[in-house]
Amino acid sequence: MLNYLARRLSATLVVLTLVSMSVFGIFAVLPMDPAALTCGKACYPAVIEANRHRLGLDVPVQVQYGRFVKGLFVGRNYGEGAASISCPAPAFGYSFNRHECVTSLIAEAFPVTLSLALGAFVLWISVGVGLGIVAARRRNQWPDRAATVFVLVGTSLPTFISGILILLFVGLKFHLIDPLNLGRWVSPLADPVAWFRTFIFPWIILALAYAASYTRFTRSNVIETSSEDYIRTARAKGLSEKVILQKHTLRAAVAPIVTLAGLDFAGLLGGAIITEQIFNLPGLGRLSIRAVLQDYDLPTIVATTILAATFVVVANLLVDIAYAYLDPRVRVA
Amino acid sequence: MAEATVIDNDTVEVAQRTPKAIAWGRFKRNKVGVFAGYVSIFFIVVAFLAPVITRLFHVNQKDTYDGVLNQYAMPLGHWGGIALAHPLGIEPGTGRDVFALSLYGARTSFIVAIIATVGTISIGMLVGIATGYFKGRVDSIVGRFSDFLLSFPGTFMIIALAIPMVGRVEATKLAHGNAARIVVLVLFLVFFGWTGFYRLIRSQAMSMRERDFVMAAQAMGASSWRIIVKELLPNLWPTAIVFVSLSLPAYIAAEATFSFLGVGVQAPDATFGLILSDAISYWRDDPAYLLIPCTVLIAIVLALNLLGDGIRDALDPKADR
Repeated sequence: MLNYLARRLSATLVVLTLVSMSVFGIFAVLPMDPAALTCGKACYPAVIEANRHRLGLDVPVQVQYGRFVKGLFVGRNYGEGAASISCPAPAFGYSFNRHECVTSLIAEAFPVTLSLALGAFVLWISVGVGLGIVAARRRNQWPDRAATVFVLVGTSLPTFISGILILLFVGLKFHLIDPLNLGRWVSPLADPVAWFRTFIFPWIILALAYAASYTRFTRSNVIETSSEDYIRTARAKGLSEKVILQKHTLRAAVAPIVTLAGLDFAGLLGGAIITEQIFNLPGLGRLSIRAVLQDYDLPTIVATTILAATFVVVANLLVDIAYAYLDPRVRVA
Repeated sequence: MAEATVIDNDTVEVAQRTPKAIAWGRFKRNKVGVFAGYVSIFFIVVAFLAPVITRLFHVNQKDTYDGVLNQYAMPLGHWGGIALAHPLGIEPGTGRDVFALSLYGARTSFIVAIIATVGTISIGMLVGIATGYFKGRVDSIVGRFSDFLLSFPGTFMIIALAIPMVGRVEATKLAHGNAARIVVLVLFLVFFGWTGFYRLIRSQAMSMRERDFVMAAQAMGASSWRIIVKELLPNLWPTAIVFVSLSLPAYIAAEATFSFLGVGVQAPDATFGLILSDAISYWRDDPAYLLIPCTVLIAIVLALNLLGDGIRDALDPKADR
């Protein structure tokens, strides 16, 4: 097991390095001059050059990458002397347009995205897996038909449409959402009720699409497992349907769902762009999309992209480790 | 004796039906699927005939009409100005015809979705067969690369890269404006989308190369090319058709989402995403302007999804039931 862990861990580090390098490389070859974007249209070339030097953009891209990685571990200073700005480790860069270290922008946005992702995750797992099991058990009866309709609606409604419709024609129309406080971030520790009110509609919208595909996936998994020989054996032994479902069917049917859920959740931690945008939630998704659409704030864009990819890569590692723990055959492969 | 004849008849009948005919028969019995098929064909035909149909109705997506807006630039009449001359109402603010906008919007969506699907299928098929059939080092490199691609936040990368890439495409002078935006969007959708289909095809090609009929062909000295074209492809097309039918609606929704977020086709051309992002500001005074294009888009995606489900059930009855 230790051997396997070491191998997977080093492979993950290699992937992370490659991912961050390619993100850096992709944005470096774009026909965009980040230094020119640091000040408005009427800008002296001297100012641009000074900013270029200050942001460390006047060196080759591999040196920039080296400084970026170093900054992640020991922090980083931008510029020299009294006017220098220092970002403590882990320094993801300095956003010139927002006059803030990207790390603190991310630190502000992350709790919002985490709240959104966690709540939606709980909702879609309970609805999706629950409905999937019920539909599989009552196959071709009305619960199954209802589940089919739910799956169809969930997969056919683009998130931005269901989001708009719920926000406008339910939330605002029936005064369930205060438009002035739309997306206002409240810590769940400070005011749980306000926190819940901020997130309830975004949770529902974000969970809808996932819940639909999890319903479909769970249903077919449970049906497939139910036709296995060992389920027939269990039934022949005279076990009750409840025990068969809990101890035999679900244990096998749920394993692949756990993998999927881990990866989907990690994918959301990088930011749920559409939901955050529609509900005005100041999370990572909106931070990154604003950085793109408003002023092409490259340090923020690069940092949020690398962060999102890191979540997925780390989740992959965790899922693999969990699998190796549960199934010793995996460790050899 | 009579019983034996009956059994005989049955066997004869079964023997005559090809897998294609069986699947087709199964599909025809699925009333919802057939209906969704007709609706989908209707939408596709109407979308591609947009220039003809708008002329028949004497409307145009670029014209702004006089005398249809009140002094606050809101449509006159009920339900967003629905009238005989403007069957789906009027765009508030400018006075354009929503029917024409929706038609051209649907056309843009279908163009993006169809090209992206064709691209995804061709690349996935080619790479999937090549890696699944020949295995070896290329297979492991491509496999690693597709894993690698999956760790990127695709939606966000498309948004972040589309804007500068459009400039790059325009610089080549091959496409301009919205054509360039469509090219970039399709390229990115394919780039981040081919891995799913590639995995599917790869695993099927891999298991098929060990099957007896492929071995028999190999034993007879058939070339790899012949085996791929004559033995593998005919067995892979059901997978491809199911994938096509389910990725079309997905790409249509994706196109709408990206243009809603401001990446993709821009005004004065129309897309559903643009209409809807504009309609949000009028939702209280002119809900019809938001709800009508919404309904059209949902109807298109729903019909294509239902058709896709029907096709999947017909080709692979075990998949869902």
